Amino acid sequence: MKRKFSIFLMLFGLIFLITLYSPFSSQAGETSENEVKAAYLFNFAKFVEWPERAFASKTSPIVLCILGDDPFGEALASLEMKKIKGRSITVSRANNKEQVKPCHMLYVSDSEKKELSDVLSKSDNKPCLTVSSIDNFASKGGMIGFVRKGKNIRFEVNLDKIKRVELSVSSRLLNLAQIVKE
Amino acid sequence: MNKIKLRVWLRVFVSLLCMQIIMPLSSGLCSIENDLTELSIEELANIEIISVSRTPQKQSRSAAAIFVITADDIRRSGVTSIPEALRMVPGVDVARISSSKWAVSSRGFNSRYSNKLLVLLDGRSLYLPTFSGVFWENQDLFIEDVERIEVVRGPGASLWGANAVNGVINIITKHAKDSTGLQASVGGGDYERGFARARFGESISDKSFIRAYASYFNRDEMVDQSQNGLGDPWEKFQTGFRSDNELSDACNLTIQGDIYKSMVKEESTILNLDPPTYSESLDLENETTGYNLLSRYTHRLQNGSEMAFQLYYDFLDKEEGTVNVKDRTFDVDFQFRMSPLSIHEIIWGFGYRLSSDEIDSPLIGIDFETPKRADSLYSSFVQDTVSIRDNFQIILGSRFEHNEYTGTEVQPNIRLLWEPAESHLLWAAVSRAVRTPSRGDNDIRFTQQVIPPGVGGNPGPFPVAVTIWGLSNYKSEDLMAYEIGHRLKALDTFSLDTTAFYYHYDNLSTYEMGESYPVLDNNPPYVVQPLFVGNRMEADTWGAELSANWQALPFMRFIASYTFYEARLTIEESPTIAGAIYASDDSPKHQASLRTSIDMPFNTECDIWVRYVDDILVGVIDNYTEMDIRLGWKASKNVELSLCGQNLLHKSHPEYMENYVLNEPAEVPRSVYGKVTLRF
Repeated sequence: MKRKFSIFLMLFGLIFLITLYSPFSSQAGETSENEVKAAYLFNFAKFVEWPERAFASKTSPIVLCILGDDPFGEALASLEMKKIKGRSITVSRANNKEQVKPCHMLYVSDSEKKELSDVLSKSDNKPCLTVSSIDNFASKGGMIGFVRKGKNIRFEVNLDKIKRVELSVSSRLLNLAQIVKE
Repeated sequence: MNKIKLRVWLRVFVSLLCMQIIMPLSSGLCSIENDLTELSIEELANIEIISVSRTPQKQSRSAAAIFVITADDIRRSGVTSIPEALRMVPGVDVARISSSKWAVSSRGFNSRYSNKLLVLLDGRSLYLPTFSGVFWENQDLFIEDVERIEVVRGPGASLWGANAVNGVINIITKHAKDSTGLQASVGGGDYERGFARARFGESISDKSFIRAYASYFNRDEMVDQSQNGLGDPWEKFQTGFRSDNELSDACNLTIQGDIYKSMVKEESTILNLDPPTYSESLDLENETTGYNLLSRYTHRLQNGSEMAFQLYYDFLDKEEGTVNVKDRTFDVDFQFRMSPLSIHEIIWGFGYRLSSDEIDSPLIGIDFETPKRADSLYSSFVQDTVSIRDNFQIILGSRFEHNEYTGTEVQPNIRLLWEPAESHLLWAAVSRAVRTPSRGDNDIRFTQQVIPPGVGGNPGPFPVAVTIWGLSNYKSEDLMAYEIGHRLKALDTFSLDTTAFYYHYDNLSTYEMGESYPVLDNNPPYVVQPLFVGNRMEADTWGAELSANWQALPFMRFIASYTFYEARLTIEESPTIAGAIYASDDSPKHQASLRTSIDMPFNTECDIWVRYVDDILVGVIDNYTEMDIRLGWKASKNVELSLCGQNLLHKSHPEYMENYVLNEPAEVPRSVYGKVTLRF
């Protein structure tokens, strides 16, 4: 019995290790939803241009505000170490809309669903890119809304709204977007 | 089992446990970090994410007859045990045999040893291979910490393995993170003489959580037709813990265990060879102890693939009638889930289980050819879910098992899932499943009846002991199952789930009259009439199940279910055939249940549950309608009071009669209990 066990154990450990390092591990597979969204936020910052008046100086950071429960956790940490055209990214978190400081990007968390129209009216006419995962965010007056297409995360863009606040968006971003109107 | 062997077992278990904890940490596998911001936006758009429900499929998206009992359903129904909660499930037949014994089955063939239903608690199998069944009286826990009970009617064998023939019940307890703080319940009444249970959960760090609980209850006896007690009260104490640890973003380690002891009183009729009654009534006090320890390690790889590695050890020492059973199970299980191509999701795994038992029986009633036995079970499975279109899936899978009784068993299935519109889902499945022989089928010697000399059928001078006789050539019982189902979800407030099935069984258990022989060296001498087990019956069963959930008003909800079941058994014609274990009316033809939940002013709740169960066992058990009512009051954030009346419509009613016991059927009495729950 004991020997049977040890043979089984060895076999077991071996297969365990093989599967860990198997070719499957290097293929593009699945990953967590919020990690993908965090990476999108970084890309949005890259492909959106703010008017110069939105920054105090040429090196002042791009401020990303998270309103409500932060769904990203650690996933945003790597953003703060990056630079976009000489600007670093600062993440600022706020629990309610009164606390929101002037920011360049505002991510409205799912927890703020009920307050959505209030939040959006407050950021109206400011050069602030609003992003959210709330259903139909872009057609409800937001700018970029995440949507799920099967196993992929895509986004809808409300272009009228973005243009109204003098933000300009790269066509590379628009190529992937679904354009919606209010 | 001797001490040396036990030590080997222990060593294997501990070393595996260490391997499970140390290996991922030391190899640094847990610290894989993936920087997605390095990807281009086009790459991001094509990256695949984990489905919302990881392995457990969302109920509304699974291609099987699934029903979920939630924690809230359990709380509001007022049930005090798992089998009682299962009465909510369409297609499932729950009948109480005595104060501490239940017969639970899905889609027919109900008995105390319902051998075609697999039950798992947090991944640990509760199905006892020695007897082919689940001892429900041993399965108690801190019931408030049950997150949900998923019941799948129909074969689940391709994923879960043999004996998941007619259904799989998955009892899932809360993650330790979701059960922090102190919660205590005390209460009592007439049948529930008294119970107290408490759980304390704590977060050790923001990634490590642990909870511990203790639970005690004392339950009264059942009654006979004229309300006299049957002398079968019981009590049980159980304590346990669960700890969940996030070793990193990608790795999780869960360790949990329980230990329990119960004392069941029983008036049991034991057969013997002494005239004039050839039986003896015994007042038994049967003690059961048991413990188990489980650890599960899950690891999410960079690409979203996931693996799980689980091991457990389970020990049971049970007295049943005059028999003592010691049972040990050691189980290792490995599972891997991946999506190598975007439309495929593959789950595969393999496992090993060693179960050993020791059976000690001092009387002539039950005996085994070999008092000790250890069996190995090797298994592997693979399942591929192919999403051909967003609304169309094909699921293909099979399980391969090797057991020591019948060798290799292959259990494949194919399922289709189609969502023609957002609110409609259709599914269909064809599967094969087997019920592998138990130790009992193989080598039991069970004296079912003693016919006194001179009484009909026994003209001879000696008593005849009719003895069920297990044989090693006993085969697996097998099933081909055809199922279809429809799920409708309308307006967020109404859902309707309909399923229908047709089953064809082969090689079902039968008895065959053997050559009788005298035992003359015994005092008194007697004759043994063997009844050999065989596989000479076929059966066709069919049925339909309906369940509806309607939130009629924001404060009022109705949950209704209806079950239809019918069976036709065909036993092989032969002069030696002496009968079968199963009957076509083991389970009721019609069952219906209606639960009404009302939220009332001042934080009070009212729940009314009415059930109808058709007659069973050739009219030995009549049909019955019963009702439970629960009134609850959330007096404050921390205090909840409730009063629950169970089986209110009759003074008492019988639900089942165990074939093997000669006693009158026990009747379930009307009962009331009150409960105080504190949460801090």
